[in-house]
Amino acid sequence: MTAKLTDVHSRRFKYRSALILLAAAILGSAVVPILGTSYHISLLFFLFISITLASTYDILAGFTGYLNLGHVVFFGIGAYVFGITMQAGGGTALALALPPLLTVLFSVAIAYPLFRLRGAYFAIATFGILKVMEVLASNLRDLTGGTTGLSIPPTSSTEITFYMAGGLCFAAIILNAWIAHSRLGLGLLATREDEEVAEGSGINTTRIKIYAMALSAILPSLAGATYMWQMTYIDPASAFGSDIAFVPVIMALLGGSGTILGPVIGAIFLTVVEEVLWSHVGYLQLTMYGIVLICVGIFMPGGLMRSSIFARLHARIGLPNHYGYQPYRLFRITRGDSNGRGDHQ
Amino acid sequence: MKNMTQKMLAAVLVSFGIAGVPARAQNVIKIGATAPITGALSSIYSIQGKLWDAWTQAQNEAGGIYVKSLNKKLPIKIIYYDDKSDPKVSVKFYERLISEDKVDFLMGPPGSPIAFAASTVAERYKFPMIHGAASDPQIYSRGFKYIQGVLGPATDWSHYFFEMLGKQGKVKTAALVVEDSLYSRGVAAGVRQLAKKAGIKIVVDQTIPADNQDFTAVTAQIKQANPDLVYVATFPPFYIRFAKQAAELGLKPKAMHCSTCSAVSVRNALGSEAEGITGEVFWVPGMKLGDYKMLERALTISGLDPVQWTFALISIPALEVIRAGIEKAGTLDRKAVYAAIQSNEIPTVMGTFKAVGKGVGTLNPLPMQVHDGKVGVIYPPAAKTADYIYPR
Amino acid sequence: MDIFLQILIGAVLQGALYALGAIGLSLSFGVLKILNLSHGDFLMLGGFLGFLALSYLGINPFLSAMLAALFGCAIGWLFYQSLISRIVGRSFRQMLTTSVMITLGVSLVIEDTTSFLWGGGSTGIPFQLSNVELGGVVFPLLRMTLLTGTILLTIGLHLFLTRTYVGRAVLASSMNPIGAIVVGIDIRFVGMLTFALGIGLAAGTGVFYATLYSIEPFMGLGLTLKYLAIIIVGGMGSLPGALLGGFIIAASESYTTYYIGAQWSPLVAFMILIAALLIRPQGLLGKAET
Repeated sequence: MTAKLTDVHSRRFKYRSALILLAAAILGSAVVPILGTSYHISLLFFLFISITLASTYDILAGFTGYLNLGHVVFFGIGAYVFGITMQAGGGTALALALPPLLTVLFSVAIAYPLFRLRGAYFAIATFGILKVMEVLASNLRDLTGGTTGLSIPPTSSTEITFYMAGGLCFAAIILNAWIAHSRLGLGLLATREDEEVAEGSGINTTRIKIYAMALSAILPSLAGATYMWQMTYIDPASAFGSDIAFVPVIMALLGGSGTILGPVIGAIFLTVVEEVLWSHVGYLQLTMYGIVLICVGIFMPGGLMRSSIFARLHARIGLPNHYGYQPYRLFRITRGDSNGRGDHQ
Repeated sequence: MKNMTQKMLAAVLVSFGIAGVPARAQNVIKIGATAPITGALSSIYSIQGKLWDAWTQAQNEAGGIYVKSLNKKLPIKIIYYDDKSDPKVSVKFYERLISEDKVDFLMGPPGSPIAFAASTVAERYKFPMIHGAASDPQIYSRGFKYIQGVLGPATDWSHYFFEMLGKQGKVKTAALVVEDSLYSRGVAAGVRQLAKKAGIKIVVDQTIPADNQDFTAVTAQIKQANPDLVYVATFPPFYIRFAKQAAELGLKPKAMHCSTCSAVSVRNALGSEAEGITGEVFWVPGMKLGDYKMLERALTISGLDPVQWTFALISIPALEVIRAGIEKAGTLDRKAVYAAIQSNEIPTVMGTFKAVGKGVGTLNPLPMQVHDGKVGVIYPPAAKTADYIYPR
Repeated sequence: MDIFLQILIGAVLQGALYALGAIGLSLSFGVLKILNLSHGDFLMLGGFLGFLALSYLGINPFLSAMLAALFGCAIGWLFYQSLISRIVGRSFRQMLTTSVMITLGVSLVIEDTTSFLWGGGSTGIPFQLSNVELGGVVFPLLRMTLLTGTILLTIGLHLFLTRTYVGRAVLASSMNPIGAIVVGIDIRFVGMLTFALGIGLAAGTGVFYATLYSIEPFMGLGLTLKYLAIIIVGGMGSLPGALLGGFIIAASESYTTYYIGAQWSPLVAFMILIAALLIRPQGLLGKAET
């Protein structure tokens, strides 16, 4: 099982299909504020935020195989920094510039110690960082308003935040595509397959992992700032809570971690399910959510994008599937297969 | 590829279509709201939808609400969604209630943090929202003009209780244990003032995270200070843990008060330890204020215990207020109805409502005490159903 | 000094309770490499079972804990057969993501269905024993009895793991699954057993938990995360490690609450976890990664 190099570098001219699709999506989203109701705007707004979070989560998870379960910490920090800056009278421009700056610094700071861990330990540690931020946000009352939350005066228009969120969403998708075609992406993929060998081939795995994490932090922080701008209220649970922490992860896994459209599809799927199904059925929504998760976990662990229909479509529009095809073999004890080696356990 | 684009666009449009078809005919009064039926606050509000359905049925059995401008009685329909205790889900659904479901009036969501977020929607669209169980002062200190709560501020929560203690004069010292959450902090802020007025000194004042499990340290502290009253501003899960451990570790104050623990589940969980604890409750059967008959009918239909779900009941005065507003204004025009609500005194099952400015109301819970496993209101004399026993 | 001791006793008991709940997680992670995020929910289910047993059948918590444990084992076995066995054979990287998905899904289903059926509200088991006071320090009898029960269970578990053939197989598999296969251990059977055992322990602990504290439908995930912290600090796959980890976390929480302030105690637990992960990921008593 290998990631085919040809997947990444060929089919240059088939990108036209992907670009047309992208343009159509952008155009479609742009007209929603004109044609749709405030409900549609609201719905799409949250969808854009979800896609941004899921796609950027997948920068680390899809390319390197490291599950940053605490990914939304960047979102939360962005929201709080925006809120605190606005409250302190810093003005919108500063309030939008600070979140990415501070979040990238934060991500680099935590990346150094975190990347000494692998696999499940890394995942748990990132989640621990998230919880630490939640406690800090709850306790530093003077700065963050504590558990009572932070509130800023409301804006009258939701259009600016809508377009910002849309911009972030498409930027996240393009970022993923760009990394997939860059040397950074190649290095990350190599790291995922076998970190020791990658190191041996001259790739500074630690450095590129930190790059990946820092890259994955920029857009979520802006998403957090946009969210705060729109909602005008944030509290530790909405910014760093356990429930929202898993949502981007589930979206990415559901759609297909390691594919470019995977997190997008996962986010759309879950959002649609939530709107269509849950508005009409009063109870047991989380149960159905859980059942969906279980079924995908058992039958389609590669996500929707890797089921035969979608995988072919994904390839046809020219987007690489940098996770490669993964035949699911039963655990064999008689030979060391490549599935057992190079893992992060 | 074109196929796929088309399919995607179609799928998106279809889902929008399914998501909401607005009804246009005005032969029903639509009231919209969300409630935390699942999620963190579900232990207090999971039956909120059921109660609303029952009230709708009871109201419609009586023919509905009379609207003078249409010269007839219209039935009501409460459209509600589960916000999963999540403020942003609530915001989304309120946007939907306004723009898709095109409701006539809005009720605020129960739960202060959720109400905090949802009220921004009301203010942004200039759509009046009547709040029930959301009384934290911070919600009302932003100068919003389109929100009106029925409750008095959270700081007034125990004012009857402390009034009673002040009159009785036997309690001199108190320990204050506060759960670190929006509402409980609001209550505690009020308690500090109320206790001072009643001549009670607060000797321990601790704020503790909501999911704290081990209370050994706090209990030890309180035992050392040995106060007459232990006041715990919190919700049932926290209180159950605290009370059990307090009992185990030998902390037996002469008076124990929990701001929200009238529920049967608390009494079941604590067994004999629940005897004699005081708290607040909004409504017990036997109170005869406002439209209590319709409330009793709704309770019969839904089979709910009003003491267990005392918080969920707070939306009933909100509904009564909306109804009174419609009746007094004689029309379904939101501005007129809202103006009527703001300028009239309206009787409700929990007392008389009056808008006292900044969106704050006047309803307050009444102090209760557990006797023999049952809950009785102990003050004020006009409403009481049992006597206060001190010490426990 | 009195208070210091009081807190210490509290921490010992709290730690033991944590450890008992956590050891199941530790073993299944060691043997199967599965991160069972629904572990805490089985604790909750056990607690509810104990509550119902007391309310309707008058069974005291010590007895119902055993019943709950048996019930938990059965459910664990079912869980394994229906869901876990399907993903056991996959690659390790895949296992991580799929186990997260499946166990998270199970957790949601359990929490939501319980909330739906229960109707809401938290509850606890109202069972009290009178206290013994020695020299100013209160020895809560209920806690002491639970502590004794926990110790007995721990000793029993330890004996099982080290003296019986099956137990040793479990231990071996959790330390080195491939090595275990090489020496002829049927790792499928062992995996199933470990998993069922872990869940049974969680359910049994749940009854004790409900007696001391309170339980509610949505408590599971938070608890699971705390248990993860404990077994990482103490060492994966090690029972004494779980006890040590449990005690450390419990003590740090209690002392932080008393000396610094209750709002900082969750932070302390996580800081310890992160420090442990960075300084000694295999935990204090665990074996180093092979």
